[in-house]
Amino acid sequence: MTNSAPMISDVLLRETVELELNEIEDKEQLIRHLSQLLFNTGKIRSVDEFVNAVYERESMGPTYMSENVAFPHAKSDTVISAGVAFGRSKDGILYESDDISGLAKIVFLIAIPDEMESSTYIEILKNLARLLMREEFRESLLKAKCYEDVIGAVQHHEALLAKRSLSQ
Amino acid sequence: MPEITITLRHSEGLHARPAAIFVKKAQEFNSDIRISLDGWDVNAKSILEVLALGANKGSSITISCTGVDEEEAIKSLEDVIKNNFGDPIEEN
Repeated sequence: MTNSAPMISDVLLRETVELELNEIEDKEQLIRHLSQLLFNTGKIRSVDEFVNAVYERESMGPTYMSENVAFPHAKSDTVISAGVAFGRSKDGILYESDDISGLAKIVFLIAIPDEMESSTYIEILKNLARLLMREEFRESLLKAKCYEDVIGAVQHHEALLAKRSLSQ
Repeated sequence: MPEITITLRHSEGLHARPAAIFVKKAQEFNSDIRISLDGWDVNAKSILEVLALGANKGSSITISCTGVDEEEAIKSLEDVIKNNFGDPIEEN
């Protein structure tokens, strides 16, 4: 099987990282706001269509992951190329997903183009989930002061995970 | 400690609705329930850890249960996968 899934560090842009989501009051505003960042960087054609696709995915199962982490995502024909937006809220935003809810402080919104193979899509989510399982990674995101801190933490932990797979 | 290895036939693998159904079923039991694939071994009751497994259609996952209700747990989880999470099985 060819490994064509992009690394999170390949698609997480400076313009799609926002460390102070202070004005955001609820999940709907949160998803719309992060979608706007993907729109601004040319990753999606329409914010409305993408938000609808995210909610359609939300109806299939929870994207709130405990540990104050959420990663809403959708595969849609409104997505031009794979994109990831990261938002952080120090106080947390009430995030209800399926029958799970919690305060989301670390939120990754993932946009996947319709033509991407579902195995590649699952691999991107896998890569993100493996990063987020690491407590040290989550702490780095909570402490990050700038984009460099975020992308540095992503690259550092991606390298550790790659080393782990090689040793198996 | 009962253990089974089973191949996923669902087009979404262990993601989205199949993952949610599987994790919810695992949470019904007291036993410690683990799933392993490709050298990764994760807690079946955590949606984050199940997504971290990255199990696709065609992946053969190994489920193991340890605890007072281990036999019942493994049977139920096997049924969930054998029944393709309640969806019709697609050919190919």
